[in-house]
Amino acid sequence: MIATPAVRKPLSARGDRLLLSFWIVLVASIAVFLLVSAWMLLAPLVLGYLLAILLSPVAEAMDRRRIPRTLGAFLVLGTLAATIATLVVTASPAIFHQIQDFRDHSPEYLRSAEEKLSGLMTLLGRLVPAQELDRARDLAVRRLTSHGSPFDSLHDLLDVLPLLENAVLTLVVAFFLLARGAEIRRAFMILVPNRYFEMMLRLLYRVQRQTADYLRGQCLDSIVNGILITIALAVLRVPYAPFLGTFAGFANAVPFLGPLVGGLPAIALALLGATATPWWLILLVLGSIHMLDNLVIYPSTVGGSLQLPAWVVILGVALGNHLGGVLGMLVAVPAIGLARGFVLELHQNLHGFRIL
Amino acid sequence: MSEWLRQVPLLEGTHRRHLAHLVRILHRRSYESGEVVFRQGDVGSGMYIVHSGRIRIVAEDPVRGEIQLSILEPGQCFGEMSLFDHGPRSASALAHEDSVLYGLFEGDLDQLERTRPQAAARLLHNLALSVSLRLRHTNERLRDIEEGSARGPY
Repeated sequence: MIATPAVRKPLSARGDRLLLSFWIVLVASIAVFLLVSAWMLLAPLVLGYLLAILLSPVAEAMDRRRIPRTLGAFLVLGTLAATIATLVVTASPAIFHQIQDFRDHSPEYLRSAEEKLSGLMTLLGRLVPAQELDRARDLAVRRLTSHGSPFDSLHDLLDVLPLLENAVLTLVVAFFLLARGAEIRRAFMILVPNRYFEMMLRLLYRVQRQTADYLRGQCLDSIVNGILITIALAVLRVPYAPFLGTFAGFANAVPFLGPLVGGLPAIALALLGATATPWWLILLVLGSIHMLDNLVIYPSTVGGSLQLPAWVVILGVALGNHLGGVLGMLVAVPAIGLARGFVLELHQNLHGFRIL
Repeated sequence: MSEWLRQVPLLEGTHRRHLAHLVRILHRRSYESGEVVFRQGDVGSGMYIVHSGRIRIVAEDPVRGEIQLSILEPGQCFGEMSLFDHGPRSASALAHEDSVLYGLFEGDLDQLERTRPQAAARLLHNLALSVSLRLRHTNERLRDIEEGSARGPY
């Protein structure tokens, strides 16, 4: 005998919303904590999964042209690895040259900064002991003027090895997921009891679709922003334009705070006298690009796939920074967004399938 | 497995190569006699094809209790409406005896549309045909009922 259908509670009920908020915070905290604390262990798995999601449309397009899935995955990842390697080999001398150039000019910038901020330094001198202020200045000068390439010592080279190891592992995970993802998912679903099978399948599919939409949209948005900012800074004759544009593109991945942080270095350079362009013009141009992003680019790339209130983003970034520094900041917002999507979907499914 | 799929009316006209691809996509599930496949009102996300055994489709009425709508034999499919509208199931499905089913769900159809659009188009065409036949049948039954009630109790 089948039970009579239960009356479904409206999602908007206050108790439900509170419970949902609790679950979202809990799942996001666990996700951020796991990612940060076991990063070296989980990184290849998580990055491999995300890379596979990102590249699956290309592998599927090859599949549609009857290229075997394994060969397709190999071609997609091989092309990606070759492109990255080419970019690193061709672009790294230019980037190192720009860093070196910045270091060479840094004493000049520091002098300019000291002159412009002398009023502030006087005020700071009243608040902070002079000894501490001198120590901070010496530290900044030492950091900025320390010469040498990143591969000067064997120790530095050995530091890079785990990163390469992780990159290879990430590619291997992505390869298996691209080539055999459907089979792996099916094998996992066999283990799920009949009662929860359909719910689990729907949940996995929808969360994966949400993740894919967000990732692809965000990557596209960051690339477009990075290119626009690079072009704008080059036209404004701001030094290190490609470097600053790339940084702004990466920073753009963090909503609200990212565009602000991404634009600061260029404005700071103008304030320090590194370019003849006035700082306010750079601010105006970067602000216009940000407006264009908000009104046109972001809605058409990311859309509504990760709608988070500003206070959640700021709190998430602060928490991410506390747990894992810059990496934590970059990971926190997508983790919260995806945790929110997962919990909402799980909640709807548990009600929809009358398990709750 | 491909040979069996060729005989399923829903997959009629599907190319042999596409059937081999479908074999990799479909989910095989086994149900014991009396086990619920899905319940009326549950959120639906896909359809099933009966491979072996028999499936009982019942509507649950708060007044009249369970009303048996049909018994499905191997080769027949059910739950296809949810594949399109992802809405609640309009009836319950139970294993009338030990049964093996193959399931196709929204994610699978989505993947099929991207990787084998011709196979997806054929499947959707056959599904539309099946749903329209059922609608026609329902209309005829409705007309019979209305004519019967117009003629009165004699």
